[in-house]
Amino acid sequence: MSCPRCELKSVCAAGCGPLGVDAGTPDCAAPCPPRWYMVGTPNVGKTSLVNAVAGSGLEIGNWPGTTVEVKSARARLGCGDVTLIDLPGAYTLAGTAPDEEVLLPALAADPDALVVNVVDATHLSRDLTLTLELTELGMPMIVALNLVDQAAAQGHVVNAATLEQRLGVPVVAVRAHVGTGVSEVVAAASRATAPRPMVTYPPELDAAIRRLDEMAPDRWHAVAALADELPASRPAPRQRRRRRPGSANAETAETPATVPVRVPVGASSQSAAVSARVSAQVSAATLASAGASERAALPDASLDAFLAIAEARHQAAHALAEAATRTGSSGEDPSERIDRILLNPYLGPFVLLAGLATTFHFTFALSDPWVAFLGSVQAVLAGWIETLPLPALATSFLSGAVVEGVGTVVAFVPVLFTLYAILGFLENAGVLSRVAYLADGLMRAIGLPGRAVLPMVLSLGCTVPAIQSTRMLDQRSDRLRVALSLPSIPCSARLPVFVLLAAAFVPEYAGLVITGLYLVGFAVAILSAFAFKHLLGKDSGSAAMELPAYRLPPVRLVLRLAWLRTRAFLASAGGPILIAVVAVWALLTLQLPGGASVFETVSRALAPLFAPLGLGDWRIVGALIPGAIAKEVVIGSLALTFTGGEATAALGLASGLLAIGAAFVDAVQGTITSLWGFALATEAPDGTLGARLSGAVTTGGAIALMVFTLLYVPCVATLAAIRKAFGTHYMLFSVGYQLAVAYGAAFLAFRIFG
Amino acid sequence: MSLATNAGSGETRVMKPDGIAPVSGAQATLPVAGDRCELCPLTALGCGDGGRVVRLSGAPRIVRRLLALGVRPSTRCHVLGRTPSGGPLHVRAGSVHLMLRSDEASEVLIERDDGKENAHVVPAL
Repeated sequence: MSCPRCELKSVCAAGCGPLGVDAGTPDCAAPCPPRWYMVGTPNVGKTSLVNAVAGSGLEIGNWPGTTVEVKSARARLGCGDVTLIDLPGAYTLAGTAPDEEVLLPALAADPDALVVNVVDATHLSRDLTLTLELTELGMPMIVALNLVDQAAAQGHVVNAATLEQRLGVPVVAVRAHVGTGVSEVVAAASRATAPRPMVTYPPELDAAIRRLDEMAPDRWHAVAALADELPASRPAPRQRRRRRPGSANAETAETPATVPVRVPVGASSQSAAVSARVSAQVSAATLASAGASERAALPDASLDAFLAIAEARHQAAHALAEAATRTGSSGEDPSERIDRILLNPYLGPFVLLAGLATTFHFTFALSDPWVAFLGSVQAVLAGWIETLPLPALATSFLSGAVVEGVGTVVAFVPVLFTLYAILGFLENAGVLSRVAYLADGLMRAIGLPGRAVLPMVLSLGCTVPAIQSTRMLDQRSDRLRVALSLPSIPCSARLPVFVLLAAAFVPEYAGLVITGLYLVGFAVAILSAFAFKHLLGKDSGSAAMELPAYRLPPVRLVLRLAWLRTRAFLASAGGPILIAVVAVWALLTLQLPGGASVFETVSRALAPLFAPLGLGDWRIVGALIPGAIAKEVVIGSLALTFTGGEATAALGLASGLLAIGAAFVDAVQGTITSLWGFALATEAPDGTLGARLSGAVTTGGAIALMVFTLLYVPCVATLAAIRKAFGTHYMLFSVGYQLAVAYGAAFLAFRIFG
Repeated sequence: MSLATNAGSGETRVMKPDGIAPVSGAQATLPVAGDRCELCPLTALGCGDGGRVVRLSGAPRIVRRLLALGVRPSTRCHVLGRTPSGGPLHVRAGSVHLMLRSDEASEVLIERDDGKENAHVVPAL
């Protein structure tokens, strides 16, 4: 009772608790573990609870050494300063999806932390299976029972007190999305103790589990070893709270990956705290092989240990749920009523189309005006730079490399933010799962889960957010296959290039050619997804997924997460994009000692390579190089090399500010009008450029050029997104793959049309 | 591949609905959709039909995934919807709504309830 902040109750209420929570409760003084791990099934409301407990300060980062997104927050609570770590949702600790694989090592590395198991009261029986698994880890834990109100509305009244009594750990009813029950969670955290394992396994298994428990870091690992569920590839690992320190018998194990044996706390914590840590160590592999020999030695050879263990857990969870639930008259699940319309076999396809179109429309219609606004700001900045009394090279560097580069990066903010907000909303509302369900038949044909339809559709707008959205897929191999196929789908930046070139070379067939290009892009993407299936190996995942109940997500939380994700992307992709822009600027600007520009020299050197495509003119080859920054740059550089560049107009301070103001008004206006209308604005092709271009290449060459532009190296931002999600080697692979595919397809196109 | 095949013997072992003891069972010949069957795979059920899960067969990864999602012996399962042309099934298992592809749904063997149930009432836990 000596919390310094609690001596004065008013101070405590002001400083100890999270916003809007009375922290001046007696529990304020009891200390609680400094790190809380939120564990629960997907969509259970873990993030909402973190947000409710911490008030604000939510952060997003990757789990060390992985690309798995983990949210965390620091909070000053009545019981001390706490870091809340929101682990990815999982149905079991033994899950094999990349997100699920983070769970066990995270918990294992931090045995004295608190496990906050968030349980969905509407799926109590199923969620308690995970709870029972967690009790076997022997870590201090509490259970936050979420959605009790919704369960009650469906006729199931869940009694937290009964559950607490049976489980032996604090159980608190919360409403995570509105933040009720937070002070109770804080109070429960300070009285959390390590639970006793409470699943009773069949006697023949129990004996084996006891033997394995002697060498395992905890009971969960012992059971997993017997069930053949041990994550063998992962370093298993951690110090054990040994209840029988004298009986350790695994000192002989000689292994690379070692498991330090844990010392007991909990019931015997006083003596345990002083007892030396037992140094017996055992590796995950040793444990797994011990589990295998126990399996082989089971008295009843026909007994399947995994099924028997799963069944014992489910029975225990079911009994717990039965005891804690009073079932009354049940109203109809409102989600089912909605599903009857949305998932109707006749209406469904329209719902699917409408869902995809809405996502696409809002993502790009809401962000486009702001991209245009940022473009105007960029132009004004470049204009101001013109007026500075600097040498020409410095002016060029500032406007051509610095402003251009920062502009390229910042231009992604509106798109990414809008996309994350919309996807976050649809995901939490339960809509995305339905879209995936409706698209599943279609996507199964190309060997992908239904969810993959979203990245593919978003890719029509911009490849970068599409690659980011592959996170929605459970399996890493699926994510990779989709992400590496996406660059072939024509994004909106490629459309102006097609329009210009088609108008210049095949004016009478422009529409047909452009449609053809879109079809080619999709065909190549789908064929790529097929090809990568064999290249990257089959995934071991299952397409089965939950269709969560429809819910109105907390909008502020969704927006906050969208901003955090956008920021995380800029932080990791900004640097590479800037470097690429500066490199292209240098290429275009710098001169060789002889007087020729670096750009022309490089382009002329590359030109023979492109002759088989009908693109022998160095000016066209040259225009493709800066196109690697962004495909629409191809037009600008074609204009530069064929007609000479347009000079940036110098701007005064006042006129510049006026221009920015006008652009801002336009953007606001555009956002509002985009809510109900969607006009894809394409600049009218430049007649003079078209005329000059048609002299430089044949029709066949022009089609080859369009096909090449469609398929070659995705823009630097796409590459940065691939690098962020999958690493540098896959980014390099993507560069090589797209170049090869583009070259091959353009060659074919030239042969056919040339 | 079946989860519980004895090496060599090819005998399939399954889980009883009420417990953990496996039983020998080659008795379930897989029926086709619409059949009147004792032990039907979920895929053979029409919309609105349901029953209790008797056992799960199939590859371990499928069984593990189904168990994790809440489809397990003695769970009440109903087919609430199908998408056309062999697409996935919308299944309610206990209180959980799931999308199952036909390859997964065909591994869920059901003891069918008599008559057609009202498919849209939440069952007891």
